Amino acid sequence: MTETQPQEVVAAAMQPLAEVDVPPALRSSIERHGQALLALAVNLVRAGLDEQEVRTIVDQACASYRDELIAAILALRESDEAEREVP
Amino acid sequence: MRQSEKFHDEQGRLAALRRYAILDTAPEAPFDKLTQLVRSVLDVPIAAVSLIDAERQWFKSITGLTVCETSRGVSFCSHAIQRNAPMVVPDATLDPRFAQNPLVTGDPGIRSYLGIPLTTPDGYGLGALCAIDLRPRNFDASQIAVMQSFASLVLNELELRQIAMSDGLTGAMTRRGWLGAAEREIARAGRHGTEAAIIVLDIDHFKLVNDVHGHPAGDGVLRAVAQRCRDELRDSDLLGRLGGEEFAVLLPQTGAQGAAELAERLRAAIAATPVEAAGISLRVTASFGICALGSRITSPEGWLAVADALLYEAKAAGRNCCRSAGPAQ
Repeated sequence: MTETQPQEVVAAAMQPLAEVDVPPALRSSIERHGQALLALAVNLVRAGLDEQEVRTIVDQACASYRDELIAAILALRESDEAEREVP
Repeated sequence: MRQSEKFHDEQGRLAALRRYAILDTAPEAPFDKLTQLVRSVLDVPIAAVSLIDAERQWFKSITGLTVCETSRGVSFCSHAIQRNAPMVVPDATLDPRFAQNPLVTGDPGIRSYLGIPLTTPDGYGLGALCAIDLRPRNFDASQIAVMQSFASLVLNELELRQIAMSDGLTGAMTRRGWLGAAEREIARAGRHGTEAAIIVLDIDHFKLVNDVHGHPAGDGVLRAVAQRCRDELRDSDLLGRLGGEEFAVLLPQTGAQGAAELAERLRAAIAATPVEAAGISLRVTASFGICALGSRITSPEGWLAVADALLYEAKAAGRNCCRSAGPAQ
């Protein structure tokens, strides 16, 4: 895997998140997640894993985050809606 | 406080752990997925997200073992959080800290360990992400680096949970987050026979603030009240915004008298000086209902209902006052 490939792997894994309408409160979390995934991809390459293994692991790590992110977005929306219902 | 001092600030560490409101929560797929990945990538039989409570280690996720907690005394991760660096134990039987540990001498027969502290942005070690093997082994630098990356992902998941449980306007916990924490406190008090209490407070005549001065002023009042409460609370107390102008405080290990005294301090702090909000100086007061946990309380909603009834007694009594009940038996 070349130097640029970990970034491509992470970009591909993070692509579904680009389609999610993310509240401002959660944007820094996504940024940190992207940085942590990139570090993971680089370290997996250094540990000797092949490209397909790296892709699979990064995809799975990102999928787990995506589930939590969606739960967080729903919780924030619920909180905002409750706020709007207050007379 | 310097970073080195935080490693010895156990009360601050435990308070940080409470703020994340994760102890005794149900298993969650994102954490389980990460421990499964650690197990697979590091080729170890056991991996866990371990959080170090006062007397125990509790596993948010563990794969390869079926326990959900152990005593803190036998915890490897409790040692790992004493420093802000990975902890490697190549052979526990040769390490004087662990050679007689029952997890080494008995089941599951731990022989080697790699733990990465889960350190909050403000420097407190909540626990560790760990990989455990039943044979001696040296984890090399590349494996340690991979584990550090996984630990960053775990910490980011924890941060994400906390953001989702925070009210964006006041920084207090959301109603859902606070109710979850209260439910776990009821369970904890039941298990250990400890005391707990809640305070519910409602800002007096808040609707007038919004109607007369506008919502920016109302938002300023809400923020100021939340801050004045936080200034009086212990690190372990949890402030939640239940909705509108109603807040609640969860007080672990606090009896009826302690809660009543704190409520009076909160009342005085809110009423003491006008709030400056949206360029206007506003006199603000609040009314309080206080309820200590007793055997009749089995749910956070039931607990809140008792405190709410007392809060409305305080409103009926003229506002800007407190009404409390002892443990609801």
